[in-house]
Amino acid sequence: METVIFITTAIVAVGAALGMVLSSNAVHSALFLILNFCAVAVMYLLLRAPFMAAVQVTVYAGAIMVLFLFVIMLLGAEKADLGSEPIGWQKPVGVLLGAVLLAEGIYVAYKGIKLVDAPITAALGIGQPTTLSAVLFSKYLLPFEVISILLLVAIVGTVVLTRRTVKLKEAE
Amino acid sequence: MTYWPVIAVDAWIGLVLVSIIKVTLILVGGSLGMMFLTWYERRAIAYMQDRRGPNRVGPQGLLQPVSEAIKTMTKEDITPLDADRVVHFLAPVVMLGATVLAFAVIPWGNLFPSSLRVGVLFIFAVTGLHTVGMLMAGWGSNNKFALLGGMRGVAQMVSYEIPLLMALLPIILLSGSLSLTDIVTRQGDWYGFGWYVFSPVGLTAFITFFIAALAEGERTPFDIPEADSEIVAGYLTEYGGMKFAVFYLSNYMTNLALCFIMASLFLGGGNGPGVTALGTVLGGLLSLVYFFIKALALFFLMVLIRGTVPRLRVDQLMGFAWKFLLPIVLVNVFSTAIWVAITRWGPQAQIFTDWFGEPASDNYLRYGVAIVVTLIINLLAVYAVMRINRRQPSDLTEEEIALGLAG
Repeated sequence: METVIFITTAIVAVGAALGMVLSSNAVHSALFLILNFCAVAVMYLLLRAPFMAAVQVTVYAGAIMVLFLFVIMLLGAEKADLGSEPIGWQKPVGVLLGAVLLAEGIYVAYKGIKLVDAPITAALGIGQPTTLSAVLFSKYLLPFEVISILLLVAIVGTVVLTRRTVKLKEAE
Repeated sequence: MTYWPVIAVDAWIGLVLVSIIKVTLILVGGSLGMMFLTWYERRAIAYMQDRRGPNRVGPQGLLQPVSEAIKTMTKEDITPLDADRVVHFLAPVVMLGATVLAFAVIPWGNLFPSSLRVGVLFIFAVTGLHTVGMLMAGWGSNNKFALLGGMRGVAQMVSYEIPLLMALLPIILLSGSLSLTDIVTRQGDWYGFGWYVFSPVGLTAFITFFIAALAEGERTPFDIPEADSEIVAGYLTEYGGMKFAVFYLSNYMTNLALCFIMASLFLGGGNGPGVTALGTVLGGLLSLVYFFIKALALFFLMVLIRGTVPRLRVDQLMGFAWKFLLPIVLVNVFSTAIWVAITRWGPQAQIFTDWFGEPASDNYLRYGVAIVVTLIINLLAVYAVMRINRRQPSDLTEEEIALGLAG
């Protein structure tokens, strides 16, 4: 059962990723990316990490990609002509790096290297919200707080930058 | 086949069959529920406006939705010439899919518990995909009004999702669980009346959640994405026939799902007097009855608001979410933490035990103190937020104007 679901999800995920890269319309690309995120969320469910799956869908598919779509549609940038590449060496370097990543993945899969050397029983509980929050609020408390301050700074910055300037009432 | 033993294959087929039956029940039940709800809403609103409403087709007009279903199915399926055909076609599918997925984890009374441990998060993750469907409909129609409606819808959804989820936090704090089934069972004490809505924090959470749910379900004071007096029908402008019906179905099923969720989270789900006393089967049936009564009462409240309150302006809508709901919901999370500390902390805070005695479900002193303290905090928060929001531009000080804090 799990194998069937995994294969189906994997096909959908890879197909959506290809569609995202290959489609010429930016809106179609974004929609394919949402499909890809949802497929990845199903894979998290298969890995017994339902919390990660829910967060994946909420944050990426539900919030970030919706903002992407919003901007693309609002600016009417879906049919933007790419024209000539402003940075000439970008394409060959991209191809090279992609090939390196692919070779690395194939090598790891072929040798069967364990990336994390931990017992499987410890990994089973990692998707539980209780486990995550216990670690977040004890071991990684400082990074967690630093990230929240970073986000707060970003929010305050956005509010300040988008605010209309108000003239001082000099007449009175 | 040595890889899969025969028994495993049998279990596999059984699982598939059970899943198919469950999915069919959800789909048929949802559609029938939606048909009933449209009739219920029209009759109720007609009663409020001193009219009769649909009462010709079938007894009391109950078959009116059937005749309308036949009408929409036989209509011509139109796609605009310059529309993006695939996106235009897929938009209603995405909307309905997002809605139906939410029904998968709703516990129907005590009879069909759902087992997903993060059920609450799952529901709001999948209903968040509605915004994608709206944008697809708005953009795929290649129509200015549709795009405007889609944009309005997304802005509204994204803004109101934050108070909606924040209003949930108190419930998660009180129950210590993200599973809807667990949350419902925790409300079973006090003879089936231990509902979270009966505490000041739960009541505040319920009211804020209800308002945000009205916006999420595009109910009338917040139906700005489809405001027909301003932008034709919003993202629905270019849809007709069955596709329009699918949008309608998804909208009503979302409202139904939101009523079910509110009944489970705040009103104790299937809990009520006599459910535990009657045993598994009879008590389960009784719990189902309680569950539906609570959900339908909430839907009636939605209809009542539709019959009473006019539509808001876009800026009023946004200001209400960010300047009123969000601060109150945040303060409510804080006072829930105080509530939990006062009612449950024994060894963690010795001072509470010295003052009010050991934490227990019959220690009424602790509950009384908690009610008074949280009520004071929440009322002060509401008063402060209303006072800040009511300030006129002439009340601003020079420094605030210089900082650009004026509206």
